[in-house]
Amino acid sequence: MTDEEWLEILRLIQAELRQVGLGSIADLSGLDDDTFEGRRSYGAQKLAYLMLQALDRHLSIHSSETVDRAMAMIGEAVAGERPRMAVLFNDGDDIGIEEVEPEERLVGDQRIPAVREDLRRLIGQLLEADGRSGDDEAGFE
Amino acid sequence: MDTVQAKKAITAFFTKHKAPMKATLTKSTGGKIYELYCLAMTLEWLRSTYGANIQLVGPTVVSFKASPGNIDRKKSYFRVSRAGCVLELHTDIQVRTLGADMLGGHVGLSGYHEIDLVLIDPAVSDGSMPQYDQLFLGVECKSHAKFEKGIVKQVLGIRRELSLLTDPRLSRLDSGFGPTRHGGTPIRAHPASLYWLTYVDPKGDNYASSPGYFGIEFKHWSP
Repeated sequence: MTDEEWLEILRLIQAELRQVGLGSIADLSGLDDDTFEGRRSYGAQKLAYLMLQALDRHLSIHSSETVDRAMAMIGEAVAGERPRMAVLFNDGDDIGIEEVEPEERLVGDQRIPAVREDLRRLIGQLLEADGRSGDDEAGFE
Repeated sequence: MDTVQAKKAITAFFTKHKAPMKATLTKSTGGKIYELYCLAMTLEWLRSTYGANIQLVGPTVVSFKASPGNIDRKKSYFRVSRAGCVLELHTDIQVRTLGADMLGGHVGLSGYHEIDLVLIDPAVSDGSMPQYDQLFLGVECKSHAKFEKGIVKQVLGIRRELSLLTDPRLSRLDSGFGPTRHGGTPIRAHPASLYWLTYVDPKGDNYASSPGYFGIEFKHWSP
C-alpha cells in the first residue's frame, strides 16, 4: 500500500476509536518518541500499528483473562489458603453519587479476550498487506 | 489485502466489538485490575527471588481501596517471610514522607503519598500510615495505554521523599531476606528501600536509565 493509502487507514482507525469514545488512544500524542532533537516522525503506517497496539494494552487491563491469570498466579504464590476473589472497596462520594457498590468484585470483562483475539488477527492482516507475514509477532509486541 | 479490504476489516472489527470497548470507559476498575496483575507478579518475584513464604492473612479475598488509606488489618494482606524476617504486603497505602519527618511537625497534604503496593515492617500499627523508613519495597502500577513522561517525574518525586541519595548499599529487603537467588543489585538510597515503577507500555523502558541511578527500577509488565 502507498503512503497515501496508509494515511487513509490511519484516519479510519482514529475515527473508529473516537466513535467508541477512545479518543485518547486516537490522539497521536504519546505514540511517538521524544528524542534529543524533538519528536520523531513515524509516518502513517507505523502510527496505525502503534495505535492498535495501544488499544490492545487498554483492553488488556479490562480483561477477565488478566484477572484470572493474576488470581491463578497469586494462588500459586501463597502457601495455605488461596484468595477466592479480588475486591475493590469503594467509599465516600463514589458510593453516594456515582452509585457504585461499596464492595465491587474485580472480574474484568469476559468479552475482552475475544476482542483482543480479533484485534491481533486484524493487525496480522495489516502486516500481511504490508508484505510481512501475519504470523510474524515481531510487528506486534 | 488491499486498501479496500483493510478498511472493511477495520470497520467490521469496530462494529462487532463496539459494546465491550465502550464499556471500558464506564468501568473505572481497569487501574485496579492492573494493580492486581502487578501484585501477582510481585508475589511471584518474592517467591522466586528469595524463596519467601507467602500467606494471605484475613478474609480470603485480595483487597484494593478506591482511595488510598492507612494500614487496615481488618482487610486482607499478605505476610511475606524468610529467614526469620517477617514483612507485610498491603495495597493502596499512604506513606509518611521523609520531608515530613525532617520538619517534625504538621505538613498537611504534602506529608504523605500513596503507593500502590507496599512491603512494610509489621511494626506499623493498625490504623496508621507507614513511615518512609518502614518501607522495604514500594511499587507504582501505571496502566496507561500510552506511557507519559510525567509518570517519570512522579516517581522521581516519591523516591526523593522516601530516601536520601547515598553510596551503593544492599537493599533492606536483601538484608532482611538474605542473598537473592539471582544476586541483588546495590542501590544508592538510605533507607535502602526498593522502589519500582511498572507499566503496560514498553515505551516506558526508554526512560529507565537516569532514574535508575536513584534506585528506581522500571519494569514493563504487560498482561
